[in-house]
Amino acid sequence: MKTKNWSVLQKIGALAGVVLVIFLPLQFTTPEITLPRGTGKPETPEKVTSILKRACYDCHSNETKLKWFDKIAPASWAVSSDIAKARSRFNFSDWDKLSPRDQQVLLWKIVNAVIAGKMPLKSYLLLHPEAKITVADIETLKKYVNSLPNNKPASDSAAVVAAMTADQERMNYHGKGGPVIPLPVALNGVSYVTGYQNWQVISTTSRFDNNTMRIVYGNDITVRAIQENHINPFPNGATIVKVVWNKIADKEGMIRAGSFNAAQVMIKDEKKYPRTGGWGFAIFNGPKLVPTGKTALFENDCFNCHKLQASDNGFVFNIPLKNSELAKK
Amino acid sequence: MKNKFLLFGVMALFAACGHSPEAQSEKREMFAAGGQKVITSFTDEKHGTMSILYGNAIALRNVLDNTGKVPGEAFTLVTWQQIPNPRWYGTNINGNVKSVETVSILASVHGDIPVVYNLVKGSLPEAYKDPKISSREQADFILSQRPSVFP
Repeated sequence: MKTKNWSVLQKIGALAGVVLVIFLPLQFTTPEITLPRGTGKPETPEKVTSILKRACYDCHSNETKLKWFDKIAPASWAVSSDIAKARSRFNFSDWDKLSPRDQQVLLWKIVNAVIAGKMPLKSYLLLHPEAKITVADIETLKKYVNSLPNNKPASDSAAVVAAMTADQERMNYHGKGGPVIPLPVALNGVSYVTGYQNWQVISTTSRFDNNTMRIVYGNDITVRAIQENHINPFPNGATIVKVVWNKIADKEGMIRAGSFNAAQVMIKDEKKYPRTGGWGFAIFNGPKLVPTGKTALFENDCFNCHKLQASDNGFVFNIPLKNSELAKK
Repeated sequence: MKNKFLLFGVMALFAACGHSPEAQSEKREMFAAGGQKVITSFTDEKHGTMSILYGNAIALRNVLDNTGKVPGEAFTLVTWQQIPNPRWYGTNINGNVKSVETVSILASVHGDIPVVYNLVKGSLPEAYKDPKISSREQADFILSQRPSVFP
């Protein structure tokens, strides 16, 4: 059989043909990236705004500035999908739609994602090196979030103590009578857990980003998994209850557990909760243990953060550090 | 040959104890309160520590009812170094244990209720590391804690 020997010109011609036939029509398939006006941006200090604009705004705002190569299909499909996803998580252009409390929570999340090197995305930085966040930028962001209101514990005033006492009266303490029946259930099916006060305390934490302190309990399966370092993934049946209190600063400068804030629950069941790393999340708020969430999708908020920051820890933030990690402290 | 025996000996020792340096450094410590439950917790920002006060069933009932000292009460105060949680800027977590203190209330003797204080582990928390403070005052500090609100 005679094989055809193509000249260089013929090869170039063929390639151009392929480009015309395949790539040119593709350019009309890129989903449109709209730039609506938005309702209001965050009022941050200039230094902070400039970092956010440089590193985050392309995806997390309506002020997207595409480079020429971002517009070429099929790469443009990924760009447009990333932007849609980023805007759905949070959008700086619609910042004022969030409550001041949610804005503050989000700012701490942003700073943490940046510190952990999870944001900006590495794939984005590859082609947009100007978005890189420096050590000095991180310090600026840290300083800013630390200056936000509501970071300070309430003082040991009569009003705070009265609120705490009222809580105490409403609560059934340490099994005295037991919790309200039926037990509250979150919209994803995770029920409030009783009897956790008999479990092992796995850690205690004090948060200066939201003025709360916590005690974290683990059931036997959790404790064994931690002891044997089988935490990635945690075994089915592992259950963690985190009891959260608002802080009170007393006259001696001690920070104490004040009014009851919430009980947060994580239950490991790979079959029941495959979309959220095998964990069922729930938060039961205030003395009435009102479950968080208007729809079952609330669990995405929990998981996104646990996934971003604690995926190497079986998606659990507050397990005790290894001795080798403690030795460095 | 002698070295080989020595090596075997060392390996056997680690295997017997299950505490090879590597296993030990990978370990995550949790304080076992021996059946006592949490009464309350607090942090001492000035000295960078955090503490949990545990109590037995009698202690739990009495701190809630605020009935004063009752024979049979047993308390354990554990104080840890407070360290930043590497997974979340904005959270401190308990690190190494700095001290473990216990207080027991004994049966009354001629109308007096004996209070036994023991520093079981570590050194005294900085907050009351004052030579003028007696163990009685340290015990009083522990006994004066109010319970946290639990659902």
